[in-house]
Amino acid sequence: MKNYLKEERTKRDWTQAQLAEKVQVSRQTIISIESNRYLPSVLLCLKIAGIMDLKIENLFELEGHDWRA
Amino acid sequence: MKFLLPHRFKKIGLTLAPSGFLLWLAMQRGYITRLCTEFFGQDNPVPHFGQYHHINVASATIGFFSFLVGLYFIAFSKEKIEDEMVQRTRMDSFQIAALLQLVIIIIGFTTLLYSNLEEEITMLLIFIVATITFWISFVVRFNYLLHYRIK
Repeated sequence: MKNYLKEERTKRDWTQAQLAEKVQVSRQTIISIESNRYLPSVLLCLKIAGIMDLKIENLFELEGHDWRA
Repeated sequence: MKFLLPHRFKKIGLTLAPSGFLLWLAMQRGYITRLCTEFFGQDNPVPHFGQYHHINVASATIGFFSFLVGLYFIAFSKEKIEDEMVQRTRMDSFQIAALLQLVIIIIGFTTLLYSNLEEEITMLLIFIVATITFWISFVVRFNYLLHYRIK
């Protein structure tokens, strides 16, 4: 799953730590999501999208291989 | 997970596990006997504790169980921020550790079947190695993934 978290975060001038605090997770979690090492739960995706005032599909996007899982 | 210990137990575990291991190692290398001999002389019982053999057995038991309890504290303590990724990493590390333990047990028992080793001692050794492998691989993998790979 592709995500635009880093782009959207830097647009808002937020640090990883600030975003982590807003959604109540650790900074490591934000780093892992941004680098595509961790696939967040629907709940966390919704929280992040909500905090950024975005629709979830503008932040996370399915890729071709996601359909083959 | 509801059964996790508060974060402060991690620090207790980080003190308890190495000191337990050092105590066990000191007994194995004969330092306890040497220390007793130095203080009380050859083959004299230590007041209130008895013979050196008893002290060695007690040291080994205390050392080994302190080591295991320390590892348990490290493994089952909450992180400062306990979120879904931490829980996922913990579960994954448990699976890998359990798999490794199974491999050790299978290899151990296969070796035991096809060799002339003494059964009781070898079985005890297999269980000790399997238990320690489980805890150490879990603690190492979990902490590596959480604190060192992600910077």
